[in-house]
Amino acid sequence: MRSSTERALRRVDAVFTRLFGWRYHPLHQTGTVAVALLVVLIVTGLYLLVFFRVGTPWASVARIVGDPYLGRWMRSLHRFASDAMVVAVLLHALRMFAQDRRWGPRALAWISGVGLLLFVFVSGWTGFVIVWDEFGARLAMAGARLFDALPILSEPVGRVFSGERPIPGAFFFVNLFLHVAVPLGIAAGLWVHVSRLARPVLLPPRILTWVIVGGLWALAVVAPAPLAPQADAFNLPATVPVDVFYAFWLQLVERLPSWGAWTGALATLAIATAIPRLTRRPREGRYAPSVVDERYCTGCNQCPQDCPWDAISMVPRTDGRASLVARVDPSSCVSCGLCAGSCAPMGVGPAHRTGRDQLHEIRALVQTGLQPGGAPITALLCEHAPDSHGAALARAGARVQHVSCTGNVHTSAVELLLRNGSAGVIIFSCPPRDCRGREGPKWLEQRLYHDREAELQPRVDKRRVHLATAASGDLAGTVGAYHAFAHSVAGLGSVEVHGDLADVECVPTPVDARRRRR
Amino acid sequence: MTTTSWWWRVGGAGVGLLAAVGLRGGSLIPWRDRSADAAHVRLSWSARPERVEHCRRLRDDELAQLPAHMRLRVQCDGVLARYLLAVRVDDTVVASDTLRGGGLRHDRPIRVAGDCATCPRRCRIDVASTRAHHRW
Repeated sequence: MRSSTERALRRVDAVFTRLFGWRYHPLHQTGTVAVALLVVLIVTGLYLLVFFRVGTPWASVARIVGDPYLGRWMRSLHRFASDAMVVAVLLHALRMFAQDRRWGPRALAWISGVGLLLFVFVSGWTGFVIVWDEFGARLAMAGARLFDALPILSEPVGRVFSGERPIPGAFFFVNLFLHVAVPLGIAAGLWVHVSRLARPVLLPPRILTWVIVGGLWALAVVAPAPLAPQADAFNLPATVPVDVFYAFWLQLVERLPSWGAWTGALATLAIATAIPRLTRRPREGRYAPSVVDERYCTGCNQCPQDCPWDAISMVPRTDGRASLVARVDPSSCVSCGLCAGSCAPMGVGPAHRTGRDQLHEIRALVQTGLQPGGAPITALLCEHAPDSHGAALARAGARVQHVSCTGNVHTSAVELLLRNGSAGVIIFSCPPRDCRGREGPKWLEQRLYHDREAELQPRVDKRRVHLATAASGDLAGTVGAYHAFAHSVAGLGSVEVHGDLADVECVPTPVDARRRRR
Repeated sequence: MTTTSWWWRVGGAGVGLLAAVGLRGGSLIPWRDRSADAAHVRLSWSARPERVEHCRRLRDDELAQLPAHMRLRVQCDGVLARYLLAVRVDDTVVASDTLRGGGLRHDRPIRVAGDCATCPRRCRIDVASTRAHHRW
């Protein structure tokens, strides 16, 4: 059952797939785009830092802007990248919310993400203040009003801006310090944000990175951000150029009493951080964590390597056998089921989704009419793939079987399908950067074609197996991939798989009762 | 491989351009929140609040009840004064507030910092800070 937010996201995704293709789909990688923009901000910020003067902030920025060759577009790039970063982070949060990736083991990432967004706003705030133009002064005064409502400072900060005396350099120094230090906090927060991931991907594909950076650079050159007039305590400008990405709240906050603004901000923060708690699901059924059947575990150490959340570790056995045994930490397991595909003896995975369960399902499928000879092609489709794709594949003649994630698919299940009448097996995964299990298509591709542990056995004709992508908005691509595969399979003749299926399904090692007692 | 038509690719470039325009526009929205002839009065000063004391002479029997080292004939209790601030423009109050000393115990200097809107014409502005009546 898909939520309304997920359905809405799917529709937007479909449009973007058509516009940009699934490989460079910007909405699939909003998080990594935000990190790429952070890198741009750090690089351009270091340049600007060299020329910024705490004693004469506005004049020094005016000098930077006056340099038509480098300074002007460096500052504009810094400004536009910071705006784009807010958009990227908000879209990332929205996407994670819509895709139900916000609770359980992902709660840490969600909560740290809320903190990171707060840091981004604080960093942006201080960045605008140190320029000390009319907008910066407006932000500073709004902030001073909020801080003065708290009984923590001996003297109201607002008096600094009254015009009685020049604004002390210490004020700009503190803001500059925060503007440099907070991004360091963002880097530390980013480490926490991805700390539960085994192999976090931090940057978007190179082409997308350069397109985004190049686009921002072109914008900075063609339409640089102008510098507003210097702030003057005794001059109230009728019109202030406002950066809506960082100051969308300004107009509201200026009209609210300080306590109202604080209450609103704290309530928003509390709700945002409570979302994982408020929307969590019971850890059962679809959301049950993986379990290890120790009878089958050979201690091969593959599932800990494949787990994208570092939820599996190898521990000494208690049944007396010499090898180690896998153990799943339920508090880290997101129930992606990738371990089910990685375990050659099929001893690990979420309940009802292990390799053995897949084999049982296929046997049931076989009994319902999959006949050897002239059999249809089986299309294994990720359950997150659009429904229309499944229907279109069925219309095209495929026997469609849904799987929780293509990364769960055990290669033995593929082999069993071929042994039992499927002329070929085509597996449709989500776009790799949009896989809920993070690494499903990657590991499956390696198991199918590159002999990664739990590999597709050499006796299977790999020409009869194909891995494709089913992306929202690319129905033609999905159907086209199916037809191309069906055409290639048609030229291969009948299915021949040598060897015995017993080789595929690992026989459990009987446990020595005497040793177990010891 | 995504099957994207040429028109969709052009559309993608258009969306990218639109995003750039939106980014540029959103980063510099001219925000007009007051008329060009708006006028404000800025208040900014600090002052130490007066201490208001209430003293009384102790009777002999009251003095006798006190330890020898605490026997003072006149005993005073004191608080720091509060002030009523009123800003009048042509005899119309446009802002009013109660001023108290800073800090949690209100024993620090009073600090005033704030703007209040007035009218952009010649007018008589009267800023008064009067000590509030203290009830004992």
